[in-house]
Amino acid sequence: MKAAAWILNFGSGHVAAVGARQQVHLMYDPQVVDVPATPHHCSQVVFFGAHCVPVFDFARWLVDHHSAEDRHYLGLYAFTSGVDAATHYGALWMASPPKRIEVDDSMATALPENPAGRWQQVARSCFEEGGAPVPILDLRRLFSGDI
Amino acid sequence: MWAVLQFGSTWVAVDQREAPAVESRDDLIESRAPALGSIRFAGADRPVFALDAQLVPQRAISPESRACAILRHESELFGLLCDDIAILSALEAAEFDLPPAMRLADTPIHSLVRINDQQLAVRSSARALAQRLGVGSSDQRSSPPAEADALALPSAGEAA
Repeated sequence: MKAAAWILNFGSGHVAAVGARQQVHLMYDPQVVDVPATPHHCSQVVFFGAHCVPVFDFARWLVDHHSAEDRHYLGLYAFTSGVDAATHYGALWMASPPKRIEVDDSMATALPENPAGRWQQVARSCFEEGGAPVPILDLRRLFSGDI
Repeated sequence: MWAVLQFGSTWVAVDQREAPAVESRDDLIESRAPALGSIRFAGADRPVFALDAQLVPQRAISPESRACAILRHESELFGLLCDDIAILSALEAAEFDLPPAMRLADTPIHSLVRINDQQLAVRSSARALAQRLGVGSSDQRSSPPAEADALALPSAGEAA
């Protein structure tokens, strides 16, 4: 089975994918607002229309320190909640614009083992692209507050 | 109506009924920890505290602090130093839930309040701020007197 996806580059060699239809908007150096007393990896929001959208610094969450690379691209993604089936939004910092590709079942591979246990928390499956594993993000889980 | 307190780059909105007065920082009488000092209000000395822009309790007074908001938590009144205070009508602002991914277990933030295109305040309460500051905790209520060591009795062996 074939499906379209976006490969997201978080910098420092960390990449992941989301479904093609999950990407709603892409911004370059948008105005974000810092929120105090929040986790280091999710301490900003961006306003998108009438929505207040949490901004997730995925590279920082993955390796627990600042990425050496500047990340100017902010992708806005939609996902549904299991509780109310409503559409929710989350934003992710990236080092470069997302790359669109076609994925099929023959590309499936195991999730990366490092950093230990991290990918298993936020991805359910993975495919290989250019010789490297690309985990498919579970956005609902990523923005749930349970990780 | 909300009272909006400024701590550096952070604005914190509380229900105005929980902030019955504003005093000048110049009226602060500095003293020992855990409070930074006290301020006279409604016939009694009220402990005064401070927060930084990350809402972390501070042991030193910021030179930017110009005002002291008096906050009411249950029957207790306490002071909170801040850079500035504004009054905002709830009707002028849009309020959003704090996204789940941004919630820490001990967060004092109830929601986010967009004041205008450029400005965001976090909505909190006197209760949540009091908990964060340790207002009413046992070490704040009953600091031992400085003379406590001088009053210590010798142990049984030493007395013999």
